[in-house]
Amino acid sequence: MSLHLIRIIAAYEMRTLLRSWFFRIFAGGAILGLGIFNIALNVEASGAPWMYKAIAASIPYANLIILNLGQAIVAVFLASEFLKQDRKNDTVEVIYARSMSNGIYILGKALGILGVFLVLNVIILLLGIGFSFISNTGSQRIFAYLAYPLLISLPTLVYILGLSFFVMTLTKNQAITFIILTGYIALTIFYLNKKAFHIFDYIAYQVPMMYSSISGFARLDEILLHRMIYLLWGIGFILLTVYKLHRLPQTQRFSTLPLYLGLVFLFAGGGLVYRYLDTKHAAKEFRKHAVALNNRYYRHAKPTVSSCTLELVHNRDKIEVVSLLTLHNRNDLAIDTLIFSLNPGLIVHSVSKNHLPLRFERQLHLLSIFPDEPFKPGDSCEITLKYSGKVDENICFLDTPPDDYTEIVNFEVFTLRKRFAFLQKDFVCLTGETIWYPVAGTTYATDAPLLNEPDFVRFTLSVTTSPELTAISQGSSTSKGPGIFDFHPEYALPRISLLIGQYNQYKVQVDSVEYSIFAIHGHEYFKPFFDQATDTVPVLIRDLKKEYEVKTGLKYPFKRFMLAEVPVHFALDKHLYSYTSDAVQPEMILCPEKGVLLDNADFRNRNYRIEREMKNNNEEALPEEIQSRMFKQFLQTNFLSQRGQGFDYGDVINWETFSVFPEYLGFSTQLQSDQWPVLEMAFEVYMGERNEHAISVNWYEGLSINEKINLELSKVSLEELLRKGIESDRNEDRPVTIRDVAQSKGLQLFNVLRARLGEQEVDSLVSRLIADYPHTRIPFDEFNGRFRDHLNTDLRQEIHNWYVQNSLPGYLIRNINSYKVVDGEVTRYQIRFGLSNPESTDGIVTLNVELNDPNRNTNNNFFQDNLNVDFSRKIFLPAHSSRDVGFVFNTEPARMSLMTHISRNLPGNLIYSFSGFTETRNVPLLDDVIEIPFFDQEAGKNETVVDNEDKGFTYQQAVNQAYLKSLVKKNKTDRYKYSEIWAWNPPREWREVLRAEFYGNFIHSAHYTRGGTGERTASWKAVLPEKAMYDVYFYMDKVNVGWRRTNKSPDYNFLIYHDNGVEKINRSSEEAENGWNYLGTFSFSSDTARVDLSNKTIGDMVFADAMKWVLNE
Amino acid sequence: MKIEIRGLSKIYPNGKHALSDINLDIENGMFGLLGPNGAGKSSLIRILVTLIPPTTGQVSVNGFDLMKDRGEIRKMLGYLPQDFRFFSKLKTWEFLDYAAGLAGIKSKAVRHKKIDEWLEKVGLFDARDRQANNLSGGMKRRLGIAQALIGSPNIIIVDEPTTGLDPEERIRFRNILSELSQQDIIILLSTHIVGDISSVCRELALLNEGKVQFNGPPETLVEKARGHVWQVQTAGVEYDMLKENFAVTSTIPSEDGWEIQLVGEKLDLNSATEIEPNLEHAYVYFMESLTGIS
Repeated sequence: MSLHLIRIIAAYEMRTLLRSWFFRIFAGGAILGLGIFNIALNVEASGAPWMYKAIAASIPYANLIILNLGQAIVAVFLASEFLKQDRKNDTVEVIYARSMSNGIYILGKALGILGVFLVLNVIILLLGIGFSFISNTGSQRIFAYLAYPLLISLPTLVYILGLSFFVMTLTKNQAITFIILTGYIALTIFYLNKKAFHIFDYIAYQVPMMYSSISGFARLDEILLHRMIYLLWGIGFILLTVYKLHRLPQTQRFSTLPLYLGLVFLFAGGGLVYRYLDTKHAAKEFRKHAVALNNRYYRHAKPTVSSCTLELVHNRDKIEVVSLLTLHNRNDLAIDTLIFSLNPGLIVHSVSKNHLPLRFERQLHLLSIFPDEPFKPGDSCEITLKYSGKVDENICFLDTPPDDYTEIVNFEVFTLRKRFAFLQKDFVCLTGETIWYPVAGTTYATDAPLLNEPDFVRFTLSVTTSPELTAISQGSSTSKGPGIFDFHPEYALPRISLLIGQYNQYKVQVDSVEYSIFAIHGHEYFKPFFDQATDTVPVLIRDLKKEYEVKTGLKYPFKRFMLAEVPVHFALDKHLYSYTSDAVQPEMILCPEKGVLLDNADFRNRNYRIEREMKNNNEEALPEEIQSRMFKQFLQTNFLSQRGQGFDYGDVINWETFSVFPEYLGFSTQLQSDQWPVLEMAFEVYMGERNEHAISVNWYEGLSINEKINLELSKVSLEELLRKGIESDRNEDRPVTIRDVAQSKGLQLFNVLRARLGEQEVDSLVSRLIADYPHTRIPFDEFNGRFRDHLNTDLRQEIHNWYVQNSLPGYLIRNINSYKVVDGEVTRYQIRFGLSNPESTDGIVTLNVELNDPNRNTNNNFFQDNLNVDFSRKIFLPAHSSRDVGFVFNTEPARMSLMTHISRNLPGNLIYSFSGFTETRNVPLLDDVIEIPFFDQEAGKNETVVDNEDKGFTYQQAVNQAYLKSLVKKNKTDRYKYSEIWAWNPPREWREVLRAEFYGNFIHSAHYTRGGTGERTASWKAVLPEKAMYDVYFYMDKVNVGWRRTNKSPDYNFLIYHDNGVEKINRSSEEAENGWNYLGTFSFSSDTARVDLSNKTIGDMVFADAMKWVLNE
Repeated sequence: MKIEIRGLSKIYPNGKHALSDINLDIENGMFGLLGPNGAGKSSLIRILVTLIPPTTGQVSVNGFDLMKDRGEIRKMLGYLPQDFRFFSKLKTWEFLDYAAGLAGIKSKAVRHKKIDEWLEKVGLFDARDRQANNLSGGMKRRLGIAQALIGSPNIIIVDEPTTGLDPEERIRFRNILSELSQQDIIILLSTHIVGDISSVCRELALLNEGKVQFNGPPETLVEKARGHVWQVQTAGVEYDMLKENFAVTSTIPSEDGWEIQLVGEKLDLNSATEIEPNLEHAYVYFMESLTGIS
C-alpha cells in the first residue's frame, strides 16, 4: 500500500514538475548547452582538450558535473515550490485528508522531484556516452557511466532537496528560503569549496571522480565516504521535514519518529564527516611523524647497497617479495644498526644473514636491523628480507609540507586525486618513491631538505603475476612463461620501478638503443597516425637524439628508452631535490594514459592542424611529412623541452615534468657533497641549461619566480633558507619553493665560475668528469680536485660564500646609447651602455637583443616581456667593477633586455625599446665588453634624488575598503610587497609595483593608488646640501596598461613646500614626458624640502615614483 | 457507521473560541450541519477530516479515536472543502486519478473505469482533458465532489458545497447526494443554505457561535416553529413596522402592497394567517430566538 502511495505521489509530482516552465527552460537549456558543448568537443577545428576525447569517462563526467552545478540551484527552487504550492492550493486539503503518513507524502514528493532530475541526468548522461563513443576508440566503461549519476547527482539532489524542504518548513517563505540557500550555495562554491579537504563541496565539483580507463576511480572509498555524508544529511533533513510538515500525522504514536530518525541520519552524516576528516588528518599526522623519524635518523651512518635481487610475486592488491641485498660499510665507523626505508604498508616477515635470522624493528617506514656483530668499516655482507603486503602512498613526497600537501589536482572541469602508486589486481605501478624495495637510510628530512644520495645499485628483479599481464621494469627483460618475467639492468641504477598491466609493446631499434612504447591494450590510438612514417621514425629519433646530445654535451647512457602508459591519476609531483617529476624513471618515462596531460598528443587534431598549416603555406601535405612533423613535435615539446616553454596544463606541468634530462645525467651520474647536498641540484641545473639562452617568460604583471627568489635571497642566505624553508603563501598562484631558489642559485654559481674561468674550460672539464664516473656518484673532493688541478681554483671557499652569505650582486645601467656607425662601406647599428656592479658579490647579466625583422608578426607579441632573442650574451660583472658594453649589429635592433638573474635588481628583466637609430656618429665601433673606471649611484652632481624606495618617501595610507571585502581579505597579508597593476580595479591604498621604466637604482618601483579626491597623499622629503634655489623634477613613466576603466590620462597634483610657502602645481601626464619632468624652481632650506602628491586626479590612478632637486646655480 | 463527538472544543492560537463543548452522534444517512457564517461549522469539519486537531474532547469514528487512529479514519473519508479553486498543473482526469490512487485504488484499469464513471456522473466527461485550474467554478465543485466520492468512502464530508453554483448545478449536486444517502454511509453536509438539506437530511445540527443549539430530525425543528409563522397581506406603515419587529422570510409584491411571510414569537394582527412552517422558517425562528436570548 505504502509503495503504491509513494509511487502515485511521486508520479504526479513528476508530472507537475515536467509541466513547470522553470524546469522546462532549465532542462532544455542544459540539454542544448551540453549538447553544443559535446559537439564542440568532437569537432576537430575546435581544438578541444584531448582529455575529453581520450578518456572514455570524461565526457559523461564533465556533463554531469556541469549539470550538477545547475541542478543544485534549480532543485532549491523546485523543492521549495512544492511546499509553497501546498500552502497556496486549497485543493491540497483533499490530498491531506487522504490516508497516508506524512513520511509517505514527503517521500513521494521528494522522489517525484528526484525523478524528473533523474530523467534529465539520464538524458545528459546518454548524450555524454554517445559522444564518448564517437570520440573514443578505446574501451568503454559502463560502470563508470552509471556511477556518475549515483555519485554526483543523487547525493547532491537528496541533500539540497532535504535542506530546501527543511528551510522552507522553518521559514515558511519561498523567497527567504531561496535567498538563504543560494547564499549558502555561493559560499560553498566560491569560498568553502576547497576548504577542509573539500568537505563543504556538496556539489562534488572538487571531489576527485575522474575515472581512469586503466585503474578506475582513484579512491572510491573516499568518494563514497564524502558522498554518503550528503546523502545521509539529505535524508535526515527530509525526515525532519516530515516531522515539521504542516499536516497532522497519521498516528500519534509514531509522530516523533521522523524527528529521531532525522537526527540519527544527521548524526550519522556527522560521524562520517568526522571519519573523513580524521582519515585526512591521520594521513597528515602520519607524514609529520615520518618526517620527524627521518630527522632523527638521517645522520645515522648507513650501509651502501651495491646489489639488490628482488623476487616479487604480485597477487591482487598485494605483493610478496624476497630481497637479497649486498651491503658495504663505506663509513669510517662501525654500524651497529642498519637503517633502511621500506614502505610502511609492507610487513617484514624476516631478515636473515647467512640463513641466520636477525633482529629488526619497524617504525613506520623505517626498518632498523640489528646485526649480530657491528658492521665494521670496509666490511661487506649479504642480508635477505622477506616482506609482503600493500603499499601506503602517504609515505611518498614527504618534502611537501604537510599543511601544503594537496592530493587534489584540477584539469579542465575534472578533479583528480593524485596517486603515487598503484597495486591492483590488474594494474601495478610502483616507483622508487613508494620504497617498495629496501633502500638504505632515511627518506626526506626537513633538517636536510636537499639531501638525496641514493646508492647506485645493481638490481635484478623477477616478477610473477597473472598470466595475462605484462611486467615492465629497467634492464633486459626475459619471460619464462606467461606472467613470469626477469629483469637484468646492465648498469647500477639509483632506483627501479615496476609496472604490471595489460601492456602491448611497440618498439624500434635505433643504433644501440631500443625505443619502446608500452600501451595498455585498447589504447593504441596513435598507431594509425604514424602508419606512413614507419621508415622515417628511426631517422627522426636519431636526429632528435643527436641534436639534444649536442646541446647538453652528454651521451645517452642506457640501452633502452621506454614510454609506458600509466593512469591519469599518477602524481607528477616534484621533489625539492630533483629536476623532474616522478614520471621520469631510469630508462623510462611514465606517460599519463593516452598522453592526456602531454602536449600535442591528440594526433587526429595535430594531423588536421599540420595539414591545414602546410596547405596555407602552399606546401604539399604528404601524409609521411605530416606524420614526421607530428612525431617530432610530440617528442620535442614533451620530453626534450627547455626552460620557459609553455604547457597546456602549465599549473601542474612544466618543461621539467617529463624532461628526458635525468636519463642523461641524474640516473647515471650525480655529484655527491655531504657538506652541501644542494650542489647536486646546482650541478644538475647547470648541466641541463649550460647551453640554453635565458629567456624570460613572465605571463603576469605580478612578480616572476625569479623576482620572488631575489626577494627571498635579499633577506637570508641560501643556507638559512634551506634550513628554515620558505613559508608558503597560499594566496599565491605560484609560490616560490626552496627548489626554485636552489636551482637559480645553482645556475648562478656555475655561470659565474664559467664567466671567470672560461665557459669552454669549465664545460669540458665537467664533461670529462662525467664520462669518468658513469653509473655512480662523483665525490665532491674529486670534483674540486679537478678544478684545482686543471683550472687552479679551489671551489671550497667560493661555494662556502655562495652558501652562507646573503650578499647579492646589483647592477646599475647608465647612458644607453643607440646610433648608426659607418663601418667601411656599410652602416651598422651600435648599442652601447655602461654597466656597474657596486655590490660585493660577482654577478652575471644576460643581454638579449631582438632585431627588427619585417617578416616577424609582432602583433601577437602581446606580452611585452617576451622578446624574441636574436642575440644573447652573458656579461660577467665582478664585485665593485664597471663595464662599457657595446655591440654592433647589421640589422637594426628593436629592443634589448637585461636579465639580472640572482641580484638586488627588481624587476629582473629590464626591457628597453629603441625608437629608431636616427643619429649617425663618427666614432669607433665597440663590439665588446670592456672594463671602465668604477661608477656608483645614478644621481649626478648637485642632484638630490628621493625615490619611493628611499627613507625620505612616506605616504598616508587611509584605506577605505568596502566592509565586506575587508572581511574576506582579513588576515591576508601578501608575502611580497610588490603587486601587479590592477588597471581595472586600482587599489584604495598605496601599493608598490615594479616596472623597468620606473626610477630606481636596483629596484625600479613606484607606489600607485586609485585616483580620488585627495584622501591619500605621498610625500618626498629631502635633506639638501645647502639653502639655495633648486629646480624640482618629478620622475614619471606614462604607464600604458592594456585594460583600464577610462581613457583619461591622469593629471598630477603636487604641493611643493618651499621657504616662501606652499605652491600648488598641476601637471597633466599627457603633456609630460617619460623620465624627469620639471615642476619649478624654488628656494629650499637644507632640511625642509618636501613635495606632496595627492591621489586627486581625473584619471584612474596615480603613480608616485621619484623626486629630484637640482641645485640652481 | 457512527461518529461520536464528545465535549469537543477548539480554541485557535489567536484565542478565538471556534467550538465549545460539542456533543453529537452522527449515524448513517445524511447529516446536516446548519449555521450562519462563522458558527464553527468549518472548524468542526476540519477537525473531523483530520486537518486540524481539537483543543479538547473526543471524536470516535466507528470506534476509532480521531487523535490516535487518523490513518483508519482517513481511509473512510471523502472530503470536499469549502474552497476548492487552485490546483497544481493537472488535467481534470489526472486530478481524479491522483485522488483515486491516494484513496487506495491500485489498479490503473480500475481507476480509469471509475474516473470515466464519475466524470460522466458529474458531467465533466467532455472536460476530462482540460486543465483543472481552467474549469469554471461550478465545474471545479463537481470535480471536487467526484474526487471526494471516487474512492467509495464511508463518510463523506462536504463543506458549503453549493456556494456559487447555479440552480441547475445545485439540483444536480443534491441529486447525487440523495442517491448516495441511500447507502450505508454517513454524509455530513455543512451549509448555511437551508434548502440544501431540507429535502434530504434525516438529522441535523444547528451550530451557532461554536455551540450546538439544536440536534435532531428536521421535523422536530420545524415543529418548534409551529404557531410562529404567518402570512400577511400588508402595505405602507404597517409593512415597515412588521419588518422592524419580525423576521421576514419572503416578500412577494401584490396588487395593493406585499404578501409577506413572518417568523416571530407572537403576532396580533387580524389580517395575519398562520401557516405551516418549513425548515427555513424553523431555522430563522430558531436563530431569531437565539438572538433574542442573547
